[in-house]
Amino acid sequence: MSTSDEPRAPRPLFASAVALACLCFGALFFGFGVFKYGFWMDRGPGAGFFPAVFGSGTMLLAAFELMRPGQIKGRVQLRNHAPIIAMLAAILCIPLIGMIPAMALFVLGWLKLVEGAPWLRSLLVAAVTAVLTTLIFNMWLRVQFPPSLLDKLL
Amino acid sequence: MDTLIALQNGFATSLSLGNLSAALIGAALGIIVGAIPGLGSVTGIALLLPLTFGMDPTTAVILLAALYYGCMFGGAYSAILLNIPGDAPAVMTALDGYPMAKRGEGGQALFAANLASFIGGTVGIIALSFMGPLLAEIGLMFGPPETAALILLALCSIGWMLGDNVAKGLIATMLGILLAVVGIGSTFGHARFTGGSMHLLNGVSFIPLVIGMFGFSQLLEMMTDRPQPGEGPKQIPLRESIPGRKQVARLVPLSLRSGLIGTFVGILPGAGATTGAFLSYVFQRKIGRNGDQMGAGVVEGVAASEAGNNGAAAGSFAPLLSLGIPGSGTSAVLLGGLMMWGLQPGPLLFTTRPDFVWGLISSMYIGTVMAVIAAMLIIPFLMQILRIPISVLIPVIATVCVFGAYSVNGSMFDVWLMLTVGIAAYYLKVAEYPIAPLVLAFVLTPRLESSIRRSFDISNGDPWIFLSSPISVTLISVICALVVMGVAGAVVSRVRVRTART
Repeated sequence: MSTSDEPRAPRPLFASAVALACLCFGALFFGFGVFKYGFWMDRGPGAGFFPAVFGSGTMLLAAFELMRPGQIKGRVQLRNHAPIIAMLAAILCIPLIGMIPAMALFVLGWLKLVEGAPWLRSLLVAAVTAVLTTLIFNMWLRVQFPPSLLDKLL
Repeated sequence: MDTLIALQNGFATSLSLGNLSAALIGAALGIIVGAIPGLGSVTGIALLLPLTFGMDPTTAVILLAALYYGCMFGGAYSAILLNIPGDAPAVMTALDGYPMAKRGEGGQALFAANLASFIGGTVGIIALSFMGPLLAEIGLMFGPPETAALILLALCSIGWMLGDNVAKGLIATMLGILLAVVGIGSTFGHARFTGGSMHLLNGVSFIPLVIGMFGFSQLLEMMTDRPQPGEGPKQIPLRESIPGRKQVARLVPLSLRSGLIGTFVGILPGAGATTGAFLSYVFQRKIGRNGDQMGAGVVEGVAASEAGNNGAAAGSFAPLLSLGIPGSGTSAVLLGGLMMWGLQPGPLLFTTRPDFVWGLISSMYIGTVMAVIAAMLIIPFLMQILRIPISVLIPVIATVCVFGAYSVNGSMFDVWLMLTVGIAAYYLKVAEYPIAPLVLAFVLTPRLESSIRRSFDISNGDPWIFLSSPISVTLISVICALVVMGVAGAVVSRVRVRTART
């Protein structure tokens, strides 16, 4: 049990940043709800009613969270962002080589470069992923994938 | 007695070899469709509908009913194994199912999900068989004010019930509500918060949102929160995962109760299986055994959610058949199919086409039995997924996330949306904000907003309409009690902490 002599744990900067982002998000909806979309019409709530009510609620609760002392167990590490960078690269490749090849390359590159898996396993997983996605999404569900530069060249 | 004879005749129709094969194919396809993130029962039935036009209507509807049930079973699998709910109702299943899988108890969670789905679905079908028209009448007692009060009650309880920190739970709920108001809603007819993007005119797409929130954010967590080779939890073997007599005895009563709750929610037009699963989960958490541990990975959480979800799926057929009002998105697609086969659902359908109605109801019994058989047979293969190393799972899940998000609308915007939402959800999770309330609030808000607006339209702007019927008065009283109890609880615990400090 804590006593008055114990110093209060400082609030981690990351938790404050998330609470602040929630506060800003709520403020955006509140502002637009009240000033742009109309809070109340002649016979009931207007289009801005929900954004204003719940935007203000988000702001109040986020402000409460910002002022409250507290600790969080989790920690964001640089390593956690590796999939974001790899996915960004893969998605940016889609207009160039097509969706299925881009994602197959992503799987291959990830297994080889990030996880350090052997070539055979990396190639096998990439090939199986490409075949399964083609069978399910392209042939069965007939999903039209975005056109690519490679398609045009071929 | 008339019902039993009619049901017997229905079974005579549906128990032919052709219809049984149709049920088995439908169930197997449904499990696959349900388990693929991004597809759900609506998509599955919509995809299969054109292929059934050449069939006899009874065989076609048996196929589709079995597919619907298969989807309900399959939705739980990706939620339990990958933390990516196959459809919206499975969001609640992921809360306990995935922590169980991480501890090596994935087999137990899968068996519990199947057993509860079967019991919940059967409860719903029995209720539909014997009280279909009556259930539909009860559903009609819920006008816009009552529906608004019910959804508001669900929204209030979401924040209080999920997560250790009530304020963070409520913030997550409100973020879900705010995301749901983006786009041109059916209520007001003009674009809100679209930023001029035509991709947002229809609102934030649900499937990319849920894939990002659960799937992609999970993947980012896996980067650091993963066992080293040889250190992971020991997988409980298949034989030991099969529930024993004691566990079955524990799960049956709660599945029956959750199935009943789900059935009741399912008959309310528009409430849907998500609300059924959620309310069953909340009820179990409040009164059931291990309620305080729910959310950390207990079998009761998986069972309550799945039984409620399947009960609601059956319940949604009551207003469809008796009144011609679809109770969910899937039954709306089915309604379209019925009309294309020249059938007009409504009060007269029971007298003009009893062969069809009772054939359909009996096929639901067969569909759920076929689905549970197919589901039980598939578990050994599913458990192999748990043996795949995380290093391989990460890129494979990422690929599933991209294809799942893209395939809904065939739009790269949805892929970017999934990525953005996934990153935001990861930061929220690290800061200990619960994600499930956000997703549930997102699903429920459009219905709440339209119910409130329609209530005001009916009453010509008089807010007393919300206190004009015993149902809405009761629901609003429960909401007030919930809020007062929550605030009082928070104040008392603060005072206690301060007293202890001094």
